[in-house]
Amino acid sequence: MKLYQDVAGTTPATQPGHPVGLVVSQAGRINHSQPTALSKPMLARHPKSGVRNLANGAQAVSDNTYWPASRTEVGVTITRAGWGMEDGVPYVDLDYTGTATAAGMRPAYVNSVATRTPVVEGDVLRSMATVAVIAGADQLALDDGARLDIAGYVGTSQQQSSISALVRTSSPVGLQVSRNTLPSETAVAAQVGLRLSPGSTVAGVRIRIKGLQLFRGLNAQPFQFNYGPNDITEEGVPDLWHLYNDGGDSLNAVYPAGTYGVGYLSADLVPTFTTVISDGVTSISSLFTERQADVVIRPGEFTQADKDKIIESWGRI
Amino acid sequence: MIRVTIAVPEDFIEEANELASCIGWDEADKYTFTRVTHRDGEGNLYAVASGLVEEEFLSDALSPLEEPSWGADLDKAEMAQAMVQLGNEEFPAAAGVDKIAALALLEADQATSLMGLTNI
Repeated sequence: MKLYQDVAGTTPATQPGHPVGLVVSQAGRINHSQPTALSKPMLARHPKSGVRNLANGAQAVSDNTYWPASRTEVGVTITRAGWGMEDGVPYVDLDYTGTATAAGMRPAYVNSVATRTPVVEGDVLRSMATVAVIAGADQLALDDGARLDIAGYVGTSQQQSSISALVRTSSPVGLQVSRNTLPSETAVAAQVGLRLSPGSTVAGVRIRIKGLQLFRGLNAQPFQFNYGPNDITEEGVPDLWHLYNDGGDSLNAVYPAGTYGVGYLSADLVPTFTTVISDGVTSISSLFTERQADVVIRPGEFTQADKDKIIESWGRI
Repeated sequence: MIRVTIAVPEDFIEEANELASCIGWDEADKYTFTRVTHRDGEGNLYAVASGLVEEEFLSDALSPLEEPSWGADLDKAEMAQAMVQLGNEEFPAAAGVDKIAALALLEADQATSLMGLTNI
């Protein structure tokens, strides 16, 4: 099928984040559309192996949503000095300037709802990143340095953090930290940046951060590039493109009156079969789940043999 | 383009659609809010819509309204406009039965979480 951002079908939807306003069926039969801007689903991609790197936007190093260009907290200004690719992995450089009025981690990766992962009691999280202090390490106090944390939250209130060792060298160091979810916690977030003592003054201390990951469990995991919750890829693993229904979205068409079999595949590869009945007048949406990789709609209810064939075809996605 | 998420209480869906018709791009915007999808902690129901809009959308939503060429009920649109509350992550606008809460720049699920809403 072909996807377009607009109902007229003049602007293809080809990238994660593109709204989808028209789906043209490959069979050339019934097309589904959505002219209302706020009701269009979004095109998204996840690795077919599933999403494991939960650090949203960790590799979107030029995106202010996740790595702000500049911000100030407790007297310290963090400025994004540059970014690029190193060994196929995005990196970002941050400059720290100011006098810290409080102790603690001054994260470069944004601390917001966008980067928090919901958790329940019993969850175990593991984070890793490669960090180096590439300029100004001689300014750092003995207790200061680059660090990787996993912070816990109860609602929006930050609680304890699990912390890594400190990095004070210009040679990159691979940091790891693990955390068991505490009973009252509802979310965690990876945090990476410069830890400063109260009264520490820095002028252009530059750290380089690369490869931030946050996984569930303690086992080593293949690297995943997370450019945001709707754009996650893994080298060597096919992308699973899908439509993301972010709230009240629909893609509609009017079907001739009758009963139709519906089969849809979620983005985590769960097949579901149901039926819809058309009165010949009221439009039917082809979106049946929050993240939908495919849908089949045909006249008549599906037999078990039909379902088996559809599932087999999905196995080739 | 920016992402905006809007939560409309069940009783004011019609008014919100008239406002959407005034500030939207075409007649189809009158059907922006079609069904309830979320609830708050007290069980009140809301229709939520989220999507990419031009940056002027937020200022247009609070500017004096004009009836578009395809027609709209200005009285209902102005009623909805008076209910609009814009928020951000630092000062989120909580959803409520007497307001139309809007949050920009966040993903839809992050915005509805800050508004105090859960999926039905």
